[in-house]
Amino acid sequence: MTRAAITPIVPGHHTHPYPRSILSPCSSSTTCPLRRHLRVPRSVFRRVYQAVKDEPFSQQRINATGRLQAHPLQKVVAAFRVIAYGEAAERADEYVRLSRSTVAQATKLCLEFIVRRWGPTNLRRPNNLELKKMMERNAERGFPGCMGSLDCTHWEWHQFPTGTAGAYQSRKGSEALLSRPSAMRTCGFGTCLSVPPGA
Amino acid sequence: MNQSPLYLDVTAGRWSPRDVPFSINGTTRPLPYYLVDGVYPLYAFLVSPHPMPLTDEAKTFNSLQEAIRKDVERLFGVLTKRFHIALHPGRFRSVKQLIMTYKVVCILHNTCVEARRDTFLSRRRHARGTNGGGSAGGEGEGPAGAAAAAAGGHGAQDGGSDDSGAAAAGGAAPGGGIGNCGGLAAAADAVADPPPAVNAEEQPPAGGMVAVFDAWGQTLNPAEHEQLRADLTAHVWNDRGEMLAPYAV
Repeated sequence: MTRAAITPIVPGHHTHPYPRSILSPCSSSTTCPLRRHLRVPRSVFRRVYQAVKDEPFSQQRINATGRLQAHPLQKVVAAFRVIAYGEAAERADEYVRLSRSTVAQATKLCLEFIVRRWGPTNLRRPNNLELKKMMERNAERGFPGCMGSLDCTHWEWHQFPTGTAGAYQSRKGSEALLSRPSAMRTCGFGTCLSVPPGA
Repeated sequence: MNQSPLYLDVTAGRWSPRDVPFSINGTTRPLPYYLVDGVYPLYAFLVSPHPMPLTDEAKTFNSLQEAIRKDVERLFGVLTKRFHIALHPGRFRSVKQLIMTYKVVCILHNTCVEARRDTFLSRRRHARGTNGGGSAGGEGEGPAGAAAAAAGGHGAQDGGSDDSGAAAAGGAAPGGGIGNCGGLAAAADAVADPPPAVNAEEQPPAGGMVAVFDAWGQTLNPAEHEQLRADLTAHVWNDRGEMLAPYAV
C-alpha cells in the first residue's frame, strides 16, 4: 500500500508552523504564542529542543529515495503538542506535517529522553538543605517536622491491552492508574509514582 | 500504596533523614512526616486529620492541616490544566509508558516552575551586575537570559562564576533573530554541562537487615500515628490565635 508522502518543511520557510514564535524572542512572557501553544515557557522549550535535537532519533535524515525527512523542530513541537493537549498522534499531522507513526515515535523517544536527562535533577527528593527549609516553613505554619503533603489521583487508561483487563480496575469499573506526587510549595514536588488503584 | 517507591524507601529507612529531631508538645521525634487525608493508613510517617472532629481542638487541627495540604490538591489542578495529557485518559499501551509520561509531566512542570521563579533570574542579574551586564539590555534579555539562568540553575545557587559565560551568551541571544543559531547556541553551551549531582550521597542502609526491621517497626506504628496527631493537635491549639489568623474571614 502506498501513501502520499508529506512534504517536509524547513524552519524559516514561510509555511513552517512556528516561523517566528520559536526562533525569535518575545517581549512578554504572558502573550508569547509559544507559551500559549505548547504550555511551557520559551526558555524551557529551548532547553529541551537544544538537548534533544542532536539525539540520534531526532536528527534530520535523508531516506532511500533522497527525500529530506522531518526536522527535529517538527518532532519536538509534535511531542510537546501531544503532552500539552493530550491529543492523538494523528491530530498533529496537519500542524507539523508529520505522519502518525513519526509523531508517536518521536513523542515516545522524546519523553524517554526527558526522563533520562532531567529526571535525576528535576524529579527527585529534596536534599537536606531544602528539607530543612521546608520543615522550617511548615513549623511556622504550625507543623514542625512536616515534609510536605501526599495525595493520589486516578488517571484513566483508555487503551489498556486486553491481556491486562481487570488488572488495574478500579472500584467504579474503569481501568486507571494511581499517581502520587508529594507537594511542597516551593519545590514543586519530589516524587511521582504509579500503582494500580486500590493498592 | 505498598508498591510505591516512597513507601518502600520510608519503611526501609532509606529516605527521610532522621537527623533533624523536632519536638512537639514536649515529645522529641526523629521521624519527619507527610500530611495526608483520611484514606491513608495509620502509619507513623503520615498525619491524617481527625476522622470525626468533635472538640474545638480537633476542628482547629483539621482546618490547619487542610490549609497546608491544599498545596498538593492544587498541584493536581495545575498539572492537569497545564498538560492536558494528564487530564484525558491515557492512550499508551503499557504501564511503563504511562508512568514515564506522568514523570515527564512532573519534570516539565518543575522545570517551568524553576524557570519562571523570580529568584533565579534576579540572582543571575545580580551576579552579572558588576561585570558590565548593561549590554544585554533590560527587557530584551528576558527569555534567553531566563534560559541560561534556568540551565545553570542549581550551580548558580552557590553563586558560582563558572557559568557566567553561558549567561552572557544568553544575553546576546535576542540579536540572533530568526537565524536559528544565536540564542540557541548559547543554550547549547549551558545544556552541554551535565546536570549537577544533587543527592549524590544516598542515605546509607546502615546496619543491614536489623536496621530495616527497626525502620519498619518505627514507621508502620499506628499507636505512634495517633500519638503524633494528638501531640500536634495540642501544639496547634496552643498557638491557635496566631495560626488561624491568616485564614480568618
